[in-house]
Amino acid sequence: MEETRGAGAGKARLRRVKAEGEDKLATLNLTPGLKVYGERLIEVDAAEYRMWDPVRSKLAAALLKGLKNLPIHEGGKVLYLGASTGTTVSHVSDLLGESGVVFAVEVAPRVAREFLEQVASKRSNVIPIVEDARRPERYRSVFSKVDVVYCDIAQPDQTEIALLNCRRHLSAGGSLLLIIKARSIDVLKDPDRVFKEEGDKIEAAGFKINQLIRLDPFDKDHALISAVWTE
Amino acid sequence: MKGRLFLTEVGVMVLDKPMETIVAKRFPEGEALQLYKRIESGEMIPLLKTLLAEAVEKGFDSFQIYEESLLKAAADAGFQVSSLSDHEVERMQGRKTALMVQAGWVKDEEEAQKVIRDFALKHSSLKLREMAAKPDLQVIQSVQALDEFDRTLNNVEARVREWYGLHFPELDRILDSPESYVNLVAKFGRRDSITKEGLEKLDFPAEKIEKILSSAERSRGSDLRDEDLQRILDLAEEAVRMSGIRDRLNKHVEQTMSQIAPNVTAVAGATIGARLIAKAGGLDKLARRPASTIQVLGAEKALFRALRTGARPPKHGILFQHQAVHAAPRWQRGKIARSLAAKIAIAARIDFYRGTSESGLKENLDKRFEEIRQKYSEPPAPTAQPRFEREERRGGRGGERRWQGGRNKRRWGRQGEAQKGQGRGRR
Repeated sequence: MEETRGAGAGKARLRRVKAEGEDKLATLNLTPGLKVYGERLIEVDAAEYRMWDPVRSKLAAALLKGLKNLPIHEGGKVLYLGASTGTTVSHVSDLLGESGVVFAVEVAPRVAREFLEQVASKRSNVIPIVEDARRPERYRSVFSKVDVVYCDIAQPDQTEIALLNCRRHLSAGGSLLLIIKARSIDVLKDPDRVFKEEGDKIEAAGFKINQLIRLDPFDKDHALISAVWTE
Repeated sequence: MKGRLFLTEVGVMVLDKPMETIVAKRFPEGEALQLYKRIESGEMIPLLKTLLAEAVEKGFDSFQIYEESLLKAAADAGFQVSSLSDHEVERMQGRKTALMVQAGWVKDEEEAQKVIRDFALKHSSLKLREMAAKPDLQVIQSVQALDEFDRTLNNVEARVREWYGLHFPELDRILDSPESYVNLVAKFGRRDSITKEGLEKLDFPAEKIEKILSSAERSRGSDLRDEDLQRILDLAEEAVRMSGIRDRLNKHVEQTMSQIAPNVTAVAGATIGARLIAKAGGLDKLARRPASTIQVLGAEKALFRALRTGARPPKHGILFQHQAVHAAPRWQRGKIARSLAAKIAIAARIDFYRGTSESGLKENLDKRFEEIRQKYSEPPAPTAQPRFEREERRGGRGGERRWQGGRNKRRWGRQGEAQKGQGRGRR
């Protein structure tokens, strides 16, 4: 276990809690008292946790649907592509704790503004990057290789973009969490075929796929691929 | 000895290959962002000149630089330069926090991280501010406001017509224009208060005045209680006021468009041009779209249905609103929309990349329209072969309409979306 500081030291950063008879997820709030998107705050073992909504966040959906070995750990470094308004980023930030860092890339001004106000400016482990994920050489703030590349962008060539970022910023043996939006890649193709084809691309690039998880019913025609760079 | 120039959030440094010898210059407090941006954009600021001169004294004789724009500026300033590879920059980036400590700028790597984050926050905010200042965002907001306002205004006017129609049903047939209808109601109120002089002041033609007055006398409408009349007047007056706002909005769209996209405005018209920019997400994006995409912008639903089911693709989206397209006979519309889209694509590129007015775009397009009109003046003959194979592939609404109304009707019966989006087509 790595050294922890600040609020909630030594507490589990990710918890499964029972609420309304259902299994739900919650993360240890890095900024106690502050909400990001109207999520519920709960008290467990004298620490404040934020409920993690699987409908709003695909990573939570993947965890609930059986993602094993989440590679995002306390103290780790994550490159997050497609930060949007920062819902998921905020939970990633919770998971990393003060000693970790997440570089969050978002290019669309409308959502980036909200992301800066609500998440990046309030969480000391979030470094915002307003750039196009197609140009990873322009992320001047990324000061080290990362352990995880998380990619959630709606582009037909999203897999290629993710791999481009991995080649430049992922450390050897690092992990890729790739959200595949079948409908963004090809509206006509059968989603399962799209998942397969994108998975093949990742393997051809030297990754070993650990898991492919379909995200329905939380997100239709979406899947998450968890892979490790073995090359 | 070759030196590599490394631009960071705190200052600039020159390093040798093993990253041992470092000549560094820190940005003065509070000026980091501004100086960083100037260097990034290729400006040889004094601080940079001093740094390179000092580095020369320390034994560096040439410099490798990553920023392309800076390469030329540094060469012009009399330094030996060559370009630095991606890979080498990556190496330095990866050791950035350590290098910052080594340069004596921060006491440890933790502080370096903090400095980098603070800079990233400021840098991102500045970028967003710059993006938000783009004038096409103003156009997008105003044209969307205009379209929404139009819908609301239509509703209010239609309601006045219905409600006042209880009292004076004959007026509906006499006055087509919604503006003049609400104007009249707002001005006179009850039908027996309508006067000849008042109507003349509203600039109605003599025969209309005659008709209105005579039917007011013999109206079959009911009487109105004062309270009811008051509420109708409220609505009518509001509609008149909204009409004014709407006209000002429209003028604003036209003015802004002629400034930021004069060529698109000339070819497509201000409102349609603005809608295309809004749909594409900005003038820059519109300029990068192929003409074929511009042709069907606004008809995405029909387009994707066509792709999914093999049905006929749409011929026009927003462009249907263009007078040349919707006024044309059906069989010419696709051709006209295609040439219009092609010209808009060219116009948008000139607007975005050059920013000057280009003469002759509109004239050439009009010439092309004329050619189409002459060459295809007759409707095409019904196809000789019944298209069974195609029919089978068609989906969507094809089923129930399959053999109704003859082949030609079916061929043309697919403008759906664009027409629905029409509104009542003021101007």
